[in-house]
Parts: sequence; structure tokens; C-alpha cells
Amino acid sequence: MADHQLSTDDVRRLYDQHGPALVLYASLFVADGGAAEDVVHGVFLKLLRGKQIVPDAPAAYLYRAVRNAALNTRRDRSRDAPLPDQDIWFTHRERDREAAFALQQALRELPDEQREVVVMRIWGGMTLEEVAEATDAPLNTAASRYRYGLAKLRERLKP
Amino acid sequence: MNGDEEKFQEFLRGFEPRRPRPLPLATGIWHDWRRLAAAAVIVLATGASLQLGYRGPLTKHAGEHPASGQNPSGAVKVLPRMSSAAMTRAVLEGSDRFDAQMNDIAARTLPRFNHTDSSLRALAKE
Repeated sequence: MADHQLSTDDVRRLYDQHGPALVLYASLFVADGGAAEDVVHGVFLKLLRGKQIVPDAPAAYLYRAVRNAALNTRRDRSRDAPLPDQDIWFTHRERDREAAFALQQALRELPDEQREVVVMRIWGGMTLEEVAEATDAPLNTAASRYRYGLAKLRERLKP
Repeated sequence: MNGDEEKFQEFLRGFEPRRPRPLPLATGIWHDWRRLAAAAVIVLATGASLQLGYRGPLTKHAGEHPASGQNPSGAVKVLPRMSSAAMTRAVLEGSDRFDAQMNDIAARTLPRFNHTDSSLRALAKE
């Protein structure tokens, strides 16, 4: 796989394509939506400054970078009192805020490793191979985490 | 994967992560200290050259410029420097100010041969 630096337009395109799902992904690690956006912006600003070499298929790289940055932020702020999380992660096509909030709660209750796989696969549009690469897990492990996570979500969102 | 799972995944995709604020692209560019430093050097160099080009006291000692008219105090009156636009306007208007300005500049910048130790004067004698 060839590595290369990205132009400003490349970075902008990647942000448009992956930004929303990456902010959602960062929200799994940090206390509030503002911090999650800051984490994602930090990763993309490094790309803009040409300081990072990015592989041809950058999705797994981006999720790994956001995860590392989010964990650093969480560690740096660990002594701060956690704020009550009032952020809304999702919008629903039919403006069903209640359903969006229920999904957010259900996602919160998933184990970390299942939750991140579900987010990458459903909202990041990644293949299971990319998810496995991003999470440093074998393909079978990533696939079973996805399956279990999906089943639990379905159970919790049952009407 | 069965049909129910497919449907459930579609249901989940009906929820969209909220769009984050736009990427601050300008910030990324301005954080590049090398570009900032290069811009600063260019600005400083341009400023310095402009200042040197326009610098000059309004009066100079007569000994330095004997070609200009002298006053009793030994200082030579030097006309205020006109801008290019003002000089162009003076030419178009046929004003005497243009000739006066050119004479003044010539007296201060061209080599003189009326000075006792002027090389042009020495050459003219030969």
C-alpha cells in the first residue's frame, strides 16, 4: 500500500466524507460533543500541515488517529469533573428526536469494542477488513463484535 | 446475514451523525510558521527598501550640493519629494512644479563638475 501526503482539497474531501462519523466515534471516548469536534479537527489540521503520511485507503488510519487523540484528551481531562452529557449525536431523517436519543442511549450501553465496530461499520461505511485494521483486531473478532453489538442494539431498541 | 438484519442496518443508517462545524482551513495555513516567516521577511524587505528609497532630510549642507541655490545660513533648500502621481499630474497640467522638481532631483543626484575637486571638472580641463 503506497503512502502519501494529501493536498488541501483531499483533506477537505475526506473531512466531508468521514467528518460526521469521526466526530460520532470521538464522542464515544470524550465527555462532550465540542471536545469530540476538537479532537477530529486536530487530526485533520495535522493532515493539512502535511505532517502525516496517509495510506491510500485512509479510513482505518483516520479512525486510529481519532481514537488515539480522543484517548489523550480523555486522559488529560481525567481530573476534571465529567459534565452531564446533553449532546445529541444523531439527527433522524424523519426528525424523530426521541428515537435518536434512544439509539444514543443504547449505543452508550454497548461494550466499548462492540460500540466502536458498529459505529465504523454503520456510520463510517467501512468494510469489516477496514474495521479490523483500524481496531488492530483479527477479521473474525471484528466480525463477531459487530454481530453481537448489532444484536444487543436490536434488543434494546425493540418497541 | 438475513433479511431482518439487513432491515435493521438500514434502520440504523436512517440516523445520521450530526454534521460538525466546518474545518478551520485558514487556521491550518496560518499555523504553518514557515509561510508566516517568509511573508514577514518579504514585508520587512519591501518596507526597508521603500523607506531607504524615500529617506532624506529636507535640507542639506551647501558644501555637499553647491549646484543648488544657497541661503545665508549655508543650508540648501530641498523641495519636498513629489509622488509619481503628483509628478504625472504636474506634467499633464504643464505646471512649473515638475521642472522645479526635476532640477532639484538632478542637483542632488547627478555628478557635478563645478566643485573644485570634481572628477568631471578635472576631465573637462584636460
